[in-house]
Order: sequence, then structure tokens, then C-alpha cells
Amino acid sequence: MLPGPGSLPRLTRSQYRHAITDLLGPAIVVPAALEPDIPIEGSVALGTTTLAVSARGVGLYERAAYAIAEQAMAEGPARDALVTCAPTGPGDAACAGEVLAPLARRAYRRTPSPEELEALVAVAVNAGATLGDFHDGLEYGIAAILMTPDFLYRPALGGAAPEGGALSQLELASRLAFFLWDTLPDDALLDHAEAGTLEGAGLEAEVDRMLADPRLAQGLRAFATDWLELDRLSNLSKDSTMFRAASAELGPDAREETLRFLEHHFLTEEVPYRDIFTSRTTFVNRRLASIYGVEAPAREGFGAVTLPEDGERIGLLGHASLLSLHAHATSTSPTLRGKFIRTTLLCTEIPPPPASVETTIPPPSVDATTLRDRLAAHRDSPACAACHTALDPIGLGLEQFDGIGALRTLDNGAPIDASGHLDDRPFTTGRQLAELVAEHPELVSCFVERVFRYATGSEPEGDDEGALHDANQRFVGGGTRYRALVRAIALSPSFRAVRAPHAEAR
Amino acid sequence: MSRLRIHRRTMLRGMLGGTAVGVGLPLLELFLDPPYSARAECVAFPKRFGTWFWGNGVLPERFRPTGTGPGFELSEQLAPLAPMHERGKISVVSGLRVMTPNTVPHGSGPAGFLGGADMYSPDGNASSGTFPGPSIDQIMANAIGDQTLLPSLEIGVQRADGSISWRGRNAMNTIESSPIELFGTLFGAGFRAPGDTSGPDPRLGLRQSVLDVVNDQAGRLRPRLGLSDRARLDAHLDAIRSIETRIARLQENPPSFEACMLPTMPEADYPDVMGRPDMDARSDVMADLLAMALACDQTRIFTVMYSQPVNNVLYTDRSAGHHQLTHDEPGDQPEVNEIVQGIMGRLNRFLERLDAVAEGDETLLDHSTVLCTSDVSFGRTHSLDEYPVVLAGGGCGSFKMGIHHVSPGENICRLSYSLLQSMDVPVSTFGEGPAQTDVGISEIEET
Amino acid sequence: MSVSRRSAAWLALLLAACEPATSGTCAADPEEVWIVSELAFGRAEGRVAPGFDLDGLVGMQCGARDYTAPDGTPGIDNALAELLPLVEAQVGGLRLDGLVQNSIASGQILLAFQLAGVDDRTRDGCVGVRMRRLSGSPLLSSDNLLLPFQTLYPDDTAVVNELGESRIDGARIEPTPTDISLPVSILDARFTLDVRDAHVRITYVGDDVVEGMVAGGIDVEQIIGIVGTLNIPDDLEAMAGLLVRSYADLEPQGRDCGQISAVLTFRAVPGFIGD
Repeated sequence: MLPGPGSLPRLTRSQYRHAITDLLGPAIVVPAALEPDIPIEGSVALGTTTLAVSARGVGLYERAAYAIAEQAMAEGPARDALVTCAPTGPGDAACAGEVLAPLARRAYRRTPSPEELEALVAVAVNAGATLGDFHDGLEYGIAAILMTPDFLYRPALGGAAPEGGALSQLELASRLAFFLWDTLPDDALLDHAEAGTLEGAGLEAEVDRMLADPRLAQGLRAFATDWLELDRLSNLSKDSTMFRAASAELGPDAREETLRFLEHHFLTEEVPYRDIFTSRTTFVNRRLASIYGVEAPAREGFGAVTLPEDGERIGLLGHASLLSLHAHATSTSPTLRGKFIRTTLLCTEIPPPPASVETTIPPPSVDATTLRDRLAAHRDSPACAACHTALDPIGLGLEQFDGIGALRTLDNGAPIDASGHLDDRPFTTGRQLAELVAEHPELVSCFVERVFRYATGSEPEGDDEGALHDANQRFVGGGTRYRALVRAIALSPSFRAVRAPHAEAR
Repeated sequence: MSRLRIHRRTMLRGMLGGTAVGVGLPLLELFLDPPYSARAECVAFPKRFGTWFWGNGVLPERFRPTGTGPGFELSEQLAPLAPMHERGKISVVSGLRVMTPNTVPHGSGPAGFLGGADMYSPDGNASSGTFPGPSIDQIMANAIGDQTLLPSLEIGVQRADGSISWRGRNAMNTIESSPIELFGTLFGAGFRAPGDTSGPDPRLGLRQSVLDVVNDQAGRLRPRLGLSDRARLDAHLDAIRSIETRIARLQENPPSFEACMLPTMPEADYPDVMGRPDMDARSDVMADLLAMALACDQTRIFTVMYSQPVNNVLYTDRSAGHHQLTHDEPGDQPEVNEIVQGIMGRLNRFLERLDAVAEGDETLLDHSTVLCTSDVSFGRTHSLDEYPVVLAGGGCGSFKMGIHHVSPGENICRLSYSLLQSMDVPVSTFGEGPAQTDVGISEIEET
Repeated sequence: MSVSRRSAAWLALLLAACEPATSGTCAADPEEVWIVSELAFGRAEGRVAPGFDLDGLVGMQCGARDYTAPDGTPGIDNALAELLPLVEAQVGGLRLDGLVQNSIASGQILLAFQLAGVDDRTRDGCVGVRMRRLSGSPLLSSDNLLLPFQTLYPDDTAVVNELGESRIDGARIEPTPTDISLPVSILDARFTLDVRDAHVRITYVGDDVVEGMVAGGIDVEQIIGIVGTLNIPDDLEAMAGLLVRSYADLEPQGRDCGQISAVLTFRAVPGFIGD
């Protein structure tokens, strides 16, 4: 597999939040107003390496830095854990240095140079003297750390930039931590990197340690959120007359279900990848349980349920999250659902409709009552058929689930026909569709591509067939288990090196 | 009501002509021609430029007015702008065409019009696309932005992140769509109303020292980067510089603008009502905050994303989202028609807000040029012909108000050129390939 | 209940027990739980009102006139249909049904019918019926009604009303009349109504909806006692007492009647009772 180009990803909101927790403690409330994560081709990871931060975003980083620093220096046990020395006065440089040096090391993922540290201490001391309070002064030092590009960006440039090459061990440590844990490397990982032991057997041992660490769940959640675009569930707009069970909590609840589901299947049970499409186990709270028509597993919060064996709802494709996201505010959308399966799960690219094309579908009528009937127009017109024959017949298999994922038997008063075909394999129900997706030959290799893209922030390039073959083999060899794939990618030479960055912006 | 205003230069010209009655015929024609008011002059007040944008276009035959010239009759979809039209504060420009390719539905329009070239998108979707370079508002902000606290301001009514304001390739200005956050940015810590001589917050100096350190650190990273990453880091550093400028200005006494005062903080973040966004209430509160920000001269360049390109906003009483309706509603699309009219109603209210701010004998709106446009012309086909354009305000007499100018097939970048010129940006050409132009649309410019 | 009525009920039970389709007690499964999502008093329009013939008489008793049901059945006893509008008129703006509905939405009145052994919703020889109160914070739809298929929890403080074994005929269940205890909680008032000889009817009307009625007699003294505990002005309390006594229409004791007939109509949605 060819290594991705040298890059400079900026921390995502979730990485920023996790980093703050690791640096300053879990009691810190990170302001919600931060530069949004903008996806490119549906991938936030791609966005982090491609897009420049906006002026507004930098302003928000500044505001957040002070809000966080203020909380960190508020009197209490959290502050005592950070400030272990007793300051002799508002401008105690030595004590300021003692606090800021380890913070800067963790935040920048490298030991700061004496000049860097001196500058940080000077800011803190000057502020302390101006304000007449040591801890108030320290706030400015902490804010400076949190606003520095060395914290906000994680360079992957290779030792001999700009031609690319192997990543330095410090760069690798950073890349590993954000991939596996979605947060800063811990001290142990940094120590290895600075000692030069993050290679060969040492590297393997560290990767295995990281895979066994509970923070792997956090990393999986971040990957899953990016892969399945689950962040969009915060802004779900569903017409409440059509979907009486919809509420503001639906999106976030549905996201939590999918994340717990993947944690359970990938990390706890460690099932083969395909099994997530046919599993009957999922995680619901009372509200989701009522939408799914099952007894709630717990009075409060989420619990595991086993869906009925003979029911239509099965695996990941039965989740309210995906069924809601890939639908409209007042109806389902077989096209969107088909496109999700085609592009996100099977990695087939589908171009958007050509400009200036007629895109109307007829309104409901006696001849065309259900959405299925009305969509037939897509496939009658040759301009539309090329793409839509690849999309609609798949999504039609999920028509038994309405726009928020509840089961239904009628569409506009007429019985639902959920038959369709995936490539040349026909099905008549959503359950059969899920089974066909699980067996699809492209499913596994597509997942490998997606995880690689997430890990490196760039699309796999070059001669794909041969390049990804290796990672694929390892994945399959590891029983297509998620942990094995993450391990394979983390240890792959393509993860540990970069090639020359693109000559110019895309 | 039209205001008669004798243009000072014209008066002098008349007097120099020799007679005490210095009012020559051309002057009479100038201020006796109904119905548009004589143009404003920016003497004590700065010129502003802004874009008011909505997504998914219009229904062109029902958007384009039939009459031309001054005193034209509004079309069905423009009818909600009647109050502004009666005051003679809007003009419509029809027939404009985006000459650059239309490869990205809903993306190529704004990129071609405001960026001068086609959008690039790896998967053909506007959401993954980038403008080819800076948009005209940012070209203006580069020229004059350092004169105000914020070089420019991008806000939105629909809760989303995307915008049509780009500082360069891959450098989109995300928008502020939270009323509470916007209030905090504009009127939060550090804001001082005119006449407030309490002196600057001492912490401003401390913030400055932090930014100095940040700048130094960044210097070390830069040489190791490839070109595109260097541009990304530079964008970050430019933003830091902007904050430094802002801090410096905050340390000066606030400029004296009579209309400027601390507004009330918005109470809530205007959550959805019954699953539908509360566009009306959000639009009003954002308009209020923006009008005050302009009145206080916090910025002179703005973008209001009323709704996003390709948005699927579920408006009250509509049976489906906006984008879905533009493609699925059959026949002459009555629901889409009502949506467009509703949006024009919101635009009218927005312009009224600006017009309610007195600036000398004129208003904030008179001192602004507001470009009101969309991402396509006909939503159903994503066409870029007959591009919908309304101009409001006139920008201190830069543009003729109260006229309908038709120029079928005209290169829309000529309008972009005129807009840049009106803000005193020294532009020689704008647009690439078939869109390249070195002239504006003189028929709408006030000479 | 008059002797003749009681004997008729026993006979019905015996006959039911001898039906070849039923033998022994009803199976426990499949169980259905129906949670009451809409509850209101059965109101009259002219002389038409929903309800049952509770006293086996058609005509007047204690001065109260019977109604006719919407399907034409005569002798309907529903004194509250006459009385409640008077009370509501006295208290300007009082809408009892609105109060009751709000109590459901706030989780104060959560009632459920548990049906055991439902094999066929149109015709089933043996179905166990139980009515009980539930607890928990109800999940509401966008129109403020209980969401179907939600899980609520048993209320251990309330009595479980065993309505015995019944059958389904024509998609309708009518258990043998029996006394039931109805816990009521509206605003800050909490009390229990003992409905004597309650008739219950449950009808399947759609895939996920049942409609029904509960009707029976309530002791006049119990009502007056409850009204006394409420936080209402004395004159209203006196008036209510007067009205209840004069409209009482069941259990004649000399010239007066000791019980007043009440009819509640409801809709219920499927649900679960959790542990």
C-alpha cells in the first residue's frame, strides 16, 4: 500500500475535547463553539488535511483557550493536581515552569525547546504580575499552549521533508494515538518515541498495549462517527406530524445506539466484520425501544436487546441512525439509502445528477401510490437510469422502515413491496438485503479502504488493486476482526511513512 | 418617500457656470426623475458591502420582472419586496449568466459568480467542493478589512456550517449561526459602545502577548511544509494577525457612531419547532445583531447565509424539504413558489432592519450595497442562466436604485467586477476563461 | 346489582366454560399489554350517550333518566354525562377531560389492560383480563399522546384488578362485571374510586389500537368524601355534594340512590410492562 502524502491534519472537535480532558482533567467543560468539522467526500479525516481553518475558527480557539484555562486554574483539587509547587509570588517563574513544561510536552507531543518554554513562562509571569495573582497569570500560559499550532495540528511530514519518507518517531506516536485513541499520546508512548524505541518489536509492543487500553473504545467511536457521518444526527429535521415519535432526542439517541453496537461487536465480542450486518443484538434506551417495538432493557439509559429472530430488523442496516440519516424530513429515500450502501459500504463512486436534468418524480396517484412506484420514473429516463439502477433497487429493500426507522407495512395506504436486487442478486425483504450486503465481495476491502483513509487522512492512491491487497490479506487473515485491522494498519509501512505532499492544492 | 438631495459637486458646477441660479437642466433632471431617491453620499459614514444568500434558486419566469428601467413592476416572486421597492432602494439585474462550467450542482454557480471560476469537487458534490480562489467579499476584506475590528463577518440563519465566502482555495469562512455565540463575538467581552471612555480592558494587552508567542512558535513549523499545507498554516497565521489588529482597535476609544449601542442578548438559541427550524425568528434576531454590528462599524463586509446551497430546510406548512421539492414537485411547483416568496419576505425584513439605522440624513442601507442572490437559477435543472440577482442599498450612490436592468446572456462576472470596483478595490480583471472581464455593468453604475 | 342480573352473569360464565373451544384456564401467552393513551368521561349528545345498562332497567330510577347508546341500545346508565357539564359550567373554564388527559401525559394516570392468551383478535375462547396501574415517565409523541410500544413499570402501591377470564367475539372483549379499584391522580389530588360492578368493554379497532369503556356505580358517599378532601371553595363543595346526591341513579335505598353511574371511554396503545 502506498503511503499517503505528507500532511498537516488539524485536530477534530472530538480530538480537541479528548486532548483537553487528558491535559487538564475531566471536569473541564470544553465550549461547544469550535470550528466545525467539515467533511470532504463524506470523510472528516480528509477534511482535516485539506481545509484551512477560518478566521472565525481561530477566534473560537482563542475564546475556548481562555475559557478552558480559567476552569483549569479555578481553586480546587483539579488545580492542585496541576500546580504541585507553591508559588512564592504572582511572578514565580520557577513554579510556572514546573507547571507549563509537562503540559506543553503532552500538548505538543514533544519536549518543548528551552526557548519555547521560556516564552511561555514569560507570558505567565508577566500576566501574573499585571493581575497580581499567580494562578490568573498561569491561565495565559496555558492559553498560549492551547492556541499554538503545535497543539492544534499534528504534522505527518516525515523526517526528510519535503521529499517525504519515514515519519519521525514523535510524529508516529502522535499519529498512532489519534488513530487508536482519538487523543494525545500518553507519557509512556512519548517516552518510547523520544528514546527511539518506537520501532520493530518495541513498536509492536506499544501498539498491542494501545489496543488493550480502554481508550480504544474512544478511538472506535471517533472512527465510526466519521465513517457513518453520525454527527449529522445532531441536526435531524423530521416532520413531527408525519413521524409522531420523532423528537429532538431521536438523533443523539440513535447515534448512541450505533456507537454502542459497534463497540460491543468490534471490541467486546470481536465478531468478524460481516456479522454486524446480521446480528440481532443491539442497544436501545426506552425511546428507541418503543420505536423498535421491543421491551426496554432498562428504565434509564441504554441496555442490550435481542431483536426477534423472525423480524425484519437486523444488523447495522436496521438502525434508526442510518435509516433516519438517509431519508428525508417527510419520507424515506430509497435513493439515499441505496447510495449509502453503494458508496459508504461498498466503495462504489456515484457522480451527482448532471446539471440541467429533469429530476421530478410524479406525485402519488392511483397508478403510482407508493414511493416505490413513483421512483420507477428514475429508471425509465435513460439520463437517470445509468446511476439510479445502481441505487434505487437496493434502497427499496429498506422501504419497510419509515423515515425514522420504525417498521411499517403500508406506504400511503398501499402495502409495501421491499423487493429489489443488489447487483444481480435479488431479495424480497430488508433482512435478505442485509444478508446479501454481508456476503458482498466488496464489503471487506471497502472497509479496509475506509479505515486507512481515516487513519491517514488521505485517499488510498496509486495502483489500488495491488496496494491494498496486503492490508486486506491481513484483515482477512485476522478473521476480519476490527482490532486485527487496526493493528495491521498501525504496523504497516504505509502508516509509518509519507510520500511527498501534493505539489499544489487540490 | 424620495428624498431630494442636491449633489454638492453638481451645485458647484452650476455656480461656476456663472449665474447665481446655479441649477442647470441636467441637475433638475437628476433630482426630479421619479421614483427612485437621489443617491446617497458617504461623507461621514463608511461604505459597506454584503451578500444575502439563499439556496436552491427561484422559478425564473416568475422571478423576473416584466418591465425594465425605473419604476418597474415587481414580479410575483419579488412582490414581498414591495416596501423596499417603494422606497426606491432595490434594483433587479436579469439575464446574467455564469459563463464558467456547471460541473457541480449548486456549487458551480456561486463559485463562478463570486469566485470567477468553476468549483472543484472530488466527488461532484457541492459539500466537498472548494472555490477556485477568494470570493469577492474576501477580496474586498483584504483591501479594507484591517480598518475595522473584524475584516468580515459571515453569519447564517439556517443552522449549518457551509458558506459562499472563501478566503482562497480550501479556505472557507464557516458561518456563525448561533444567535448567542454571535452576540458573544460582537458584543461580548471587550465591547465598548461609543462614548464609553472607561478605558480598555488591561487583559487586552495580555492577550496580545499570548498571540506574540503563538506567532513565534508557528514560525518553526512553516519551512517543513509542502505548498498547500503552508497555505493552510498561513491562513491560520493571518487569522491570528486579524485578532491582533482587533485587540489593537479594542484598545482605542470606540469610533463615534450615534446608532451604535449594546443590544439585548438573545434569550435562546431558537430551537426547532415541531421538527422544523424557526427560520423567521432566527432571521430577525440575526438581522438585528448584524445591523448593530455594522452600525458600530465592527465590520464593513458581511455575508448572510439565509439558507445553504442544496439545503433541504423543512419550512412551516410545506410537505417536504426545500431541495426535495425543487426536484420532486411537479407542474409549476406551487410549494416551491411559496417558499421563494417567503424567502423574499425575509429579505425585505432584513433590508428594513438595515434601513432602520439612521446614519446622518440617510440610513445604513443607503450606505451599503447588498447583493441578494442564490446558488442556481431554476432549482429543478440547476441552470445557471437567468441568474437571480437583486441589488439593494446602492452603496453610497455606487449603483442606481429602483431600476430593472436586463442583459440577456451577460457574463455575470461583469457584475462581480462592478461590485469590486464600487468598494474601491483596484481590480483590473475578474474571472477566468470565458468569464474573464475587465469592465463592469455600466448601466447599473451611478456615474 | 339485582338478583336477576347476577344470575345471568353466572349463567354466562358457566356457558362460556362449557364451550368446546375453551377448556380450563386461559394460557398466559401470548400476552398483550394495552396502555390507556386517551381517557375521557362518556359524554352525552341529547339523549344519546355511551355506556352500559348497569341496573337492568330501562327508564327512570331515583329520578334519573336512562340514555340510549349510539348503537341504539336503550337503558344506558350514565349519570355523570348529565352532571359533569353542570359542574364544569359552575367552574368557568374547567375542562375535566383536558385535566385527565394532562394527567396521562404527566404520568399521573397510567392504566393498562393485560390480556393473557390472545390467540386470535377476532375470536378467542379464553382470554384473561387484568387492569392495573403503571408507573414511570411516559414517552410522548409530538402530539402529546403516549407513544405506542413503550415500556412502563408496575405500580406496586396500587391494586391489580383481576377481571377474570373472558372471550373475544367479533373483536370485542367484555369481562364479567366486577368491582374495580381505580386510582386517580389529577394535579395534586390523589384518591381511589371504587367502581362497583364495573362493566368493561375492549374492542380491537386497528393493528395497534383498542378502544373501550369502563362503567359502573360509585358510592355517593365516597365521592362526597373525596370532594371534601379537595382544595376547593366551600360553596362549590356543597353544590357538588348536592348534585351528586340528586343525580345518583343506582342502588335505590328508599327514595334515594346510594350510587351514581359513571362511564369512561378510552383508547389504548400496545406497550410493555417491564420489571
